[in-house]
Amino acid sequence: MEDPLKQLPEILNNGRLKSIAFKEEHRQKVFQKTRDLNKPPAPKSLWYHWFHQSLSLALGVAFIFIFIQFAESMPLKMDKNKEAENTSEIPYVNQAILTKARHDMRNHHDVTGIDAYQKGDTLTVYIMFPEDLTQDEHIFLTESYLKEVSHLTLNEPYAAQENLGELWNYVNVKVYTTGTTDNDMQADLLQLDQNFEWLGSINKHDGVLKWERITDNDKVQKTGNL
Amino acid sequence: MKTVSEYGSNEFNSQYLSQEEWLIHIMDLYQDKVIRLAYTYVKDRKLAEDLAQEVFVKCYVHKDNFRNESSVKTWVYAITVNLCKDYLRSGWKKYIHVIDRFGKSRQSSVLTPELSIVQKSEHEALAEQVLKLPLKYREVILLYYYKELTVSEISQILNKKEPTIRTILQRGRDMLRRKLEKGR
Repeated sequence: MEDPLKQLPEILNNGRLKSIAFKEEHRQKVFQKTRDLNKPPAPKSLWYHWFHQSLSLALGVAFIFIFIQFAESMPLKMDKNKEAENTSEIPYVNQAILTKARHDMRNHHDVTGIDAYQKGDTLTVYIMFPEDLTQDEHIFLTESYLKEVSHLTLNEPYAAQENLGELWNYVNVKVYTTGTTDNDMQADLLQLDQNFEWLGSINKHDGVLKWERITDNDKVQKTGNL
Repeated sequence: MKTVSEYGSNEFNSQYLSQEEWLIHIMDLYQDKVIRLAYTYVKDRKLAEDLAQEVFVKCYVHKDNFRNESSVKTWVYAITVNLCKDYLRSGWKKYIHVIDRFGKSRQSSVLTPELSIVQKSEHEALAEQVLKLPLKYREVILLYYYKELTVSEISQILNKKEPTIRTILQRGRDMLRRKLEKGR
């Protein structure tokens, strides 16, 4: 018996697929498509170029900005951490301690005027003594004041620090003193170099209070351990 | 310009032809075969027309890739089969196809009034059952019986081993026989 499938070409071509044909219009479409493939790409409009360039520029700037931010972020953090570490290492002489020491000096030792502030690792003090006190008394009272400030700042017993206090290992001190004035204290503070006679300074590395006269050219230097 | 008949054969040497001439000859030789083969895959006239156009554009574009390792016929059929399968695999196209068929089923129908009269004939029943076979069996049956290709050519087109093609062919025949017997 003959395989009916062998008649399949005849069956399909004369039956279901009889009207399926590739017409001239389809051929023309193929030619059109092949012609389109060979066509050079249409020139882009000015708007396209403008938009493309603007977008590229914006993306470029954004990328550079992000890159700079990223590049800067790490060193900045390290700097901040360093600064924070340094700050945490410096004992802070707060205003209450300075106020307490100032009151003690004015009430118990008749000091005319006294003011102090800390900026960074330097404590600056301005002291005006009464006219009748000698230079040695000025030095003694200044040391008393500094010891009190140092003592109040520390948690450990004052005696254990040999009456000096560890504060001076971390803080530089500048003490401006003068022995006479009728002027207002604040007015004097505005003209430090002219009106203060002596400058006592402690360098945090050696902890020694050194004095020098700042009113004339012949500077007299004195040194004393606090 | 030379015509196909001047070459005296379905195969011709493409090196003497311009690309456009070559395309014309390819279309002269295979246009109806390609569109009908495409129809057996997608079962839609419009889609078959579009796919056949794509086949010839692809032939044009990839002409230089043809290495004479197989016949031009096998190469063109392979492109057709791959394009149709790509289409059937594409989810979006499948969706469009279903929608399109749903809306235009009447317009796309290839049944003429005469055909509808003989629709119930044995031949028509056979054609119908062949087109209803699963794609795996349908393509082998059609390539073998309808396109009259050898097992070797089918294995080249479908990129499968010859024993596999023979097995599929046999199973397809059995499946078809069972369906036809069931329909009687």
